[in-house]
Amino acid sequence: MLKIFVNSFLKNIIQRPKILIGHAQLLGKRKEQEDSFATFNNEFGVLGVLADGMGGYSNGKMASSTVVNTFVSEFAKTRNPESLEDFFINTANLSYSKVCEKGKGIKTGTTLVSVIIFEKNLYWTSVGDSAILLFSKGELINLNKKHIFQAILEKEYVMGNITKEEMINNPKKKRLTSYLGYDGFRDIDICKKPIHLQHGDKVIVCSDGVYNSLTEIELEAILIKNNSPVKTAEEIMEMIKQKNLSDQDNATIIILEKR
Amino acid sequence: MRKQSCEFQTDFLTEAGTLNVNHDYFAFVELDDFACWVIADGLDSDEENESAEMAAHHIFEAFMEKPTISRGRLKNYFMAAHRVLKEASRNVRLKVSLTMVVTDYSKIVWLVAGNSRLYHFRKGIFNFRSKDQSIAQMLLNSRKITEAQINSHEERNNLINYIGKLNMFKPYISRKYDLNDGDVMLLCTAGFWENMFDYEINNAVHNLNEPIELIDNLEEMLLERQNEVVNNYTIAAVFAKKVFPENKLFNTNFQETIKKIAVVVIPMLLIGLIGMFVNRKINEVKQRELAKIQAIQKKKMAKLMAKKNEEKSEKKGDQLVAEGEFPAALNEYKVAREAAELIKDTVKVEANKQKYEITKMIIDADGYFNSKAYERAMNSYLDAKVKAANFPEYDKKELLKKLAKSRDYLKVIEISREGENALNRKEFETARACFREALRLAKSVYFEEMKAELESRLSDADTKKDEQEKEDKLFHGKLLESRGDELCQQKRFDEAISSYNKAKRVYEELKISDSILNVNGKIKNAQEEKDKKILWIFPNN
Repeated sequence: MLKIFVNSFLKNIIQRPKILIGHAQLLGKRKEQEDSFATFNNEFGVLGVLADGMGGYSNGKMASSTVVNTFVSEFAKTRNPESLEDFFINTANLSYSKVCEKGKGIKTGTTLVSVIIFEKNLYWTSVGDSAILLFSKGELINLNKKHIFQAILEKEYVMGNITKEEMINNPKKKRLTSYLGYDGFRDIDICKKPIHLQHGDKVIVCSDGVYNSLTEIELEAILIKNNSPVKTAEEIMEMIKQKNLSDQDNATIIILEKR
Repeated sequence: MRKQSCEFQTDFLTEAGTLNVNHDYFAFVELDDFACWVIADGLDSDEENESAEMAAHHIFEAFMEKPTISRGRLKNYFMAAHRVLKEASRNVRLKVSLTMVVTDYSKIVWLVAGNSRLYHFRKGIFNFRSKDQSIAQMLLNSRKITEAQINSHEERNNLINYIGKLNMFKPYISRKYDLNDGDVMLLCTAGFWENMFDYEINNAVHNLNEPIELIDNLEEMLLERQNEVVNNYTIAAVFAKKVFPENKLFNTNFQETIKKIAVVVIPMLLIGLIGMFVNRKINEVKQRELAKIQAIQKKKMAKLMAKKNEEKSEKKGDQLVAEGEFPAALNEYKVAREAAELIKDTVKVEANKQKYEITKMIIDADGYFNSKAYERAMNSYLDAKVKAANFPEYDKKELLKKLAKSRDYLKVIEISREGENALNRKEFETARACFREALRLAKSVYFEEMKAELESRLSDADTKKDEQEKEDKLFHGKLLESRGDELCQQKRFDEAISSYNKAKRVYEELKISDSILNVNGKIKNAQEEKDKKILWIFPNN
């Protein structure tokens, strides 16, 4: 019995990497903060989840916080970390039904990005246009594709159904094609293979209010300083504040660094 | 004008595939002496800049300005393009995979950053391909995957190097490679080769005469697959139908032999030279070490010798001091002190210094004594005695004796001086007493030199005393004589005769015959005058 306990304890110590967490949020020029986020740490690993709600007034916040809360409570309950793909799909579906239930027919919804770091590996899922980035060895890599109308337009252009101008000038090209909410959950992106994290790698989870306001180069310049995730997240928000864009969206960022 | 003597044919194709924008770029130039082919694959999603075109243009501009096949210069062109791309990264990081082939129409050099490829075929058969700078290539190099797997491996586009990389950019630069007539080069981007097997490409080259045929065949093979997604792809074929004939002299058997000999001899010479150099260095190091050891030993020996010398000199010094040979001892103590300083023995240094000083004091004191400076001698002996209290080597009794002798001599001199002063004051008795006392003391301390002088001074004092007494008596006689004269004049002849007689006795004592005769005359005269006086009073008698 003691041997099992010791083995399990040692396994936890040896296998569980040290993850540093930092996060920050900005209201921007919106009246309400519709972004929600959470990080959760248990014996299986670290969960980071972020949702960017929409639908106006309190509906967006309701949707995003419902999704975040559902992910946290489900992750807290999970006892089988081997099937994280199932966890992502099941929890996304559960969140979707809860949002629909709470929305009571109102057109509301939220994006979802969630990452889990388990035994030095990164697993992720995404619905909508929030971003998951990996900063490794000075290089910033986009992990998820965005579920926006532009992807469909590009396909149409390649098929020859529309012209290049029609593709570029379409006003709805940034509209979400998949989200968790009323009649919107059409697609979910899940990592095909977990990514083995190296020492010093940073996983960045953020809403469109971040990546639409800062360029990749600006983000890189802050991330390469190798400050703590807390300081890095604050610095990114500070830079967005300084830009003072007229239509600054809610911006939220979570940074997880493997040490 | 090498180009005129050769024939190179180039054809290429670049397509967007199933994507809406083509980020690939191909360009080539054939100059009089050099030619250059550049194939680039833009890897970023920047909407403002065509990064592949930008990088290729910069390399081309540099090459056109200074055409070369020098590996160093070509690397500089690459690095310059890399810097330009880094600086132009505004929104997203501009990334380009780029392969460049340069020829002087007889040799080629190729440079690779990323995973755009060069395939080389000779006599229609695959010869080699450039190595990618990707994780998949690393896996292949470490034999974790096979050559057949690399084109479709999931890490094929995971690049470890590309133009525009933030840090540690290092392109691959090949050595110069000789071209032969009929060689075929195929340049292609990952969008092409990732959909093909290498053997398919090899087969396509066989028995073709024109590059356009090769391009068409390859594209057909690519499109036949009917993949749902086809990335941007670019294929360029270069047929070196006739390469520039380099100086034939260099290709003769004689030259070949020379080359072979050079290949054998030069390395041998180099090895020999390196061996000599290394041997020399080793010897130098050995000698340095030996010199160091010798120096240390020498130092040790010197210390040992110095210690021995110190002991010897000090001992000898002590012995000489005991024998009273102070000047010799002084020298020994000096040597001992210097030796002690050499071995840094502070105790010995101090001891020898003290002994030196004491010995010096004694020598000085002896000097003063001999030069009759008895007071200074006495002081020096006294100092030496005080200082020598802690050193048993010095004979304290002897020092005390010397001290007492100096003091006694000084006393003799002082008393003698007092006698001299008394003599000058004509206090003959005092002077005689002083001289006698000094003489007695001089005799008791064996002050021989002073003894004779004092005896002489004593005799002088006696003489002077006698002379003085005589003078006094003569004066007294004269006084009595003149008194007699006065009494005669007063006709008191009896008294006058009495005074003359007294004077006569003084002169007789002093044995002054002239004065005696003179007084006798005066006595006679006085007697006659006295007699005359009586007759006058008593005429009848």
